[in-house]
Amino acid sequence: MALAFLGVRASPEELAQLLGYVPGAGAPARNVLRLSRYGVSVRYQQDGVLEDLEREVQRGSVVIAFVRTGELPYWEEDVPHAVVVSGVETGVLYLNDPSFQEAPIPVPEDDFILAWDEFGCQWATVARPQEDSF
Amino acid sequence: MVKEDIQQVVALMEGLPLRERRMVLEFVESLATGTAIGAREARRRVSAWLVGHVGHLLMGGEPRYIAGERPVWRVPVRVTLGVRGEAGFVDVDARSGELLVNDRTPEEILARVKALAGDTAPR
Repeated sequence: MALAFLGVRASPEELAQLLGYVPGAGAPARNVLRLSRYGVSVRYQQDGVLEDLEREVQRGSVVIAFVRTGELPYWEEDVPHAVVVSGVETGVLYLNDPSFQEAPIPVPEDDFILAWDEFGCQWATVARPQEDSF
Repeated sequence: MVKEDIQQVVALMEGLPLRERRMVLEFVESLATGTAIGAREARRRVSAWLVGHVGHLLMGGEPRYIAGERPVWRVPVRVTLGVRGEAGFVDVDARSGELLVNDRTPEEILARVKALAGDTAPR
């Protein structure tokens, strides 16, 4: 989803191999840094705060957050998951969730924080090189 | 504690943001169990480590307190996609909050995930 938004074409198999995907386990979140091989700028951090996400969304970066779906009101399952944060407003975040066709999905800030905090507020950004201004 | 005191505490808690409210509850739980960190925090630390270092589809399950010379929270590793189940556990030092893992732990967990899925072939 993130790469497609930036115009990068990669097959799911190619991505799985690059990220070290293991069926049933997924890939370590930190391996998202390997996406830089496609010529994009990638950052990965832990212990983030909402202001980080808001800043990066405003810069036009693709912002990925690792969350526990059990805290998100539109999910019925309780699993770890990655979503794209596409907007941040007072009290509400807008998520593009690869598991749902509807987009963006508004989520109350408190629910998002609980879901994000469960995994140590890990987040990543993918951007075209000139957009990366960390 | 009398009813009025409890109501005051509840009112104070409701004024806190969710994350801070969770921290207060965590602190109370650690006082009740006599440990440095409570079960929720142990699970949170394990889940964060699993997602960051092992696989983003893994998370910590319900911790169990193991008493002993070095008491630990034993947190099961939940496999949440495909064949669901547990792929071992991660211990968290209940006094220091330290995750008791080493360089081999991720590989050991991944081997259990593959075994759980009936896939033990090397990749």
